[in-house]
Amino acid sequence: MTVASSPIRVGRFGSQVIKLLLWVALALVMLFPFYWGVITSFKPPTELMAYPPIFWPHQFSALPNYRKVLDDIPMGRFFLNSIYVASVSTVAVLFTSSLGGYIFEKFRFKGKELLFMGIVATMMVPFPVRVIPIYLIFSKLHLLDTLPGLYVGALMSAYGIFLMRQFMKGIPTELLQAARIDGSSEFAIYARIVLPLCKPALSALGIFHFMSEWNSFLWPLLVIDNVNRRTIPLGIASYRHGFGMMEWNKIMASAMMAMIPVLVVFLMGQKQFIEGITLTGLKG
Amino acid sequence: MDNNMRKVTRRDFLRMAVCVAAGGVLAACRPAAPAAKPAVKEEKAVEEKPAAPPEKVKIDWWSHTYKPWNDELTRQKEVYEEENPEIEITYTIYPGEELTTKFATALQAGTAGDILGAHSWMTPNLIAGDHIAEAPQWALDDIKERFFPVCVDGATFRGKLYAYNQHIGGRGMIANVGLLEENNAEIPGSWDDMLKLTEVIDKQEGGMFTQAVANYDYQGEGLFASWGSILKSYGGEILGEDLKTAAFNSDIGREAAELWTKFVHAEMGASGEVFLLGQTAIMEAGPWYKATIERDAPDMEFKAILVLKGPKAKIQCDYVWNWLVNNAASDTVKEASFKFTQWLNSVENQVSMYKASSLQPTTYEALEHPDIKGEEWAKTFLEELEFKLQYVAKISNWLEVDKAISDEFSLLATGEQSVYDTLSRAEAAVNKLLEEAEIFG
Repeated sequence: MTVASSPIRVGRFGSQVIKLLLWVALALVMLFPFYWGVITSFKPPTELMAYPPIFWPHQFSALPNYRKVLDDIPMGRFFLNSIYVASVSTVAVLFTSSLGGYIFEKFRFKGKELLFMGIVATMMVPFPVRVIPIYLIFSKLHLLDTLPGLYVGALMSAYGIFLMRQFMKGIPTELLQAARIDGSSEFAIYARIVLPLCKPALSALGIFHFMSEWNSFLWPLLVIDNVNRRTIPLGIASYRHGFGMMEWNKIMASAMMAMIPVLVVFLMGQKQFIEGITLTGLKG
Repeated sequence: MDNNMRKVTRRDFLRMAVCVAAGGVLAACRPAAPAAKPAVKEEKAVEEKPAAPPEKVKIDWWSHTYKPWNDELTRQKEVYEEENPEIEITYTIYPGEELTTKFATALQAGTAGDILGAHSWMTPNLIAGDHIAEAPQWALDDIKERFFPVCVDGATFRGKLYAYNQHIGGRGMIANVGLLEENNAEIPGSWDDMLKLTEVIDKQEGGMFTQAVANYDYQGEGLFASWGSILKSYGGEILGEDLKTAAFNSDIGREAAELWTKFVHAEMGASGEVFLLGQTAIMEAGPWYKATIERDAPDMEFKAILVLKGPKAKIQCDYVWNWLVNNAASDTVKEASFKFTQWLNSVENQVSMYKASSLQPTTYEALEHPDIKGEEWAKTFLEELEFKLQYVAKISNWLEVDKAISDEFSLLATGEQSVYDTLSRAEAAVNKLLEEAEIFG
């Protein structure tokens, strides 16, 4: 028996092949819904309900489907509104969460832990429970049917403060003391020392929050009436007709278009994002 | 605690507090935007009293998304505005599944549209809190004179008539003629025929998806449209005459439920989509489905079947959509809204709507119109209609009763419970709920 064909080597090779096949199978399972969505966006209506299912469209209607979506609904306007709302909210949350996390972790004051628990406790209250009172408050503030009405309530995040506080446990306090000794102001310490060290966590939080705001449906549905102030999810929902009529090809076409900014944001911060969720997890 | 942590001084705290307050003020500032609806409504109410300038009456009109119908309503709205230049109507549509949430929230806050297109099932919740205006006397007289009795019933809640209809949610059977011919089967005319059809088609080889009947809904209005129709055509009743007790747990009720289970295929997908795949001979649906079939299955030969006859009668249970008028609107807007919804139900508009979206007419006169008279599709869904919404209109907690029955039938549909247990448990739950119910009219 040679070394090359020893049972141990064959066994290891075999187990690696099996693992690879399992991962490929799992990847295919995970990717298939995305693939199905993409090809559905290319299909004409007559191929949507075909049985057996059509896995590669016989007739490509990519351009007509996407063009129809752009003609039927003001998709460009919805895009701009979604980008505006999600961006403003994300920037605000990154600022308030990093500041809040920094204060809760690196400062001492009376009632700190009680206040922090109170903030975290708000995460336990489901949104449907809060939606009516919030809606009534926004109505009194004349924020209904306005774009600020979509992001004013999302300028701060309890989850974000919690996440940033966890991450900042890993920042040495001596570093901050050294900066104070050198005469740096508190805000300068936050902006020039703390923030750059928090990039991974900020990327993770930014991506999570952006996706959350981008996909938000219920709150925009309740707040916005005017078609020109709607966001992408409401735009996609306009193809969910009553009476069982669903224009799946247009739903998928609009969903594919809606995915692009989220993909861009993810790709921009992908490295820091993975690093961020890992580090915040370990330091918990 | 880390002794290197800096203690927050009073000055630091005040400084931070000022920054937070300043940030809150900035966040509360909003860019120039059109005034929110409540402000507009309040100002309008104040302005209308002292003076009567010839300004336009503005109506906010909300309904759900359904393209063929939205397009036609948009066209009709434009015609009305041309004929009535003093009226300006803003038509806004919302996804149907979230309609109740949108309407209920907006009504509570006073920001809802002036006309709301709502399912009769939604209406009791909307009426609670006095949000919906009662129809004026002229509208009451008009509706009672011109409309089918089911339309009157469909817009009556707690003994009061509220609205012109949007449309009748009539359901019947739609047959895939080609699939029936392939199996040498005839179009059924009775529930017995339907049962025989399942024995012919369900036993054919060709895969699990080939079935005689697409799965019935086993919850809510779908349940009552399917099981309720069978029950009543067998001579059974859902509730007793006093509406205080369940009447469906009887020999007839059990027979109807057994028959119903033959048509329910909970393992299949949504009935409409399975039908469009050509895998089902019969589906239970409404006339609106014609547009979807023509678009998604253009090669399918299909027809509407006259409502099936049971041993006692032909009865189809169903529901109505109404144009509700917001009680918070000014008197001028309310009057204009009722006038507009009356106009939407004119013969000409009903015929036009039928041609655009296959929704059947709501008045005798429209049914006699040359373009509709003799149209099988229009006639089919109006045969012997009886609406289960007689209960939603008359029983204060009907929606809870509906849910109690639906929950048990869901278990029956999936085979988790027998017919006997389903009806017994449903009866017990319903009787308990009806003890607390207020009965109207």
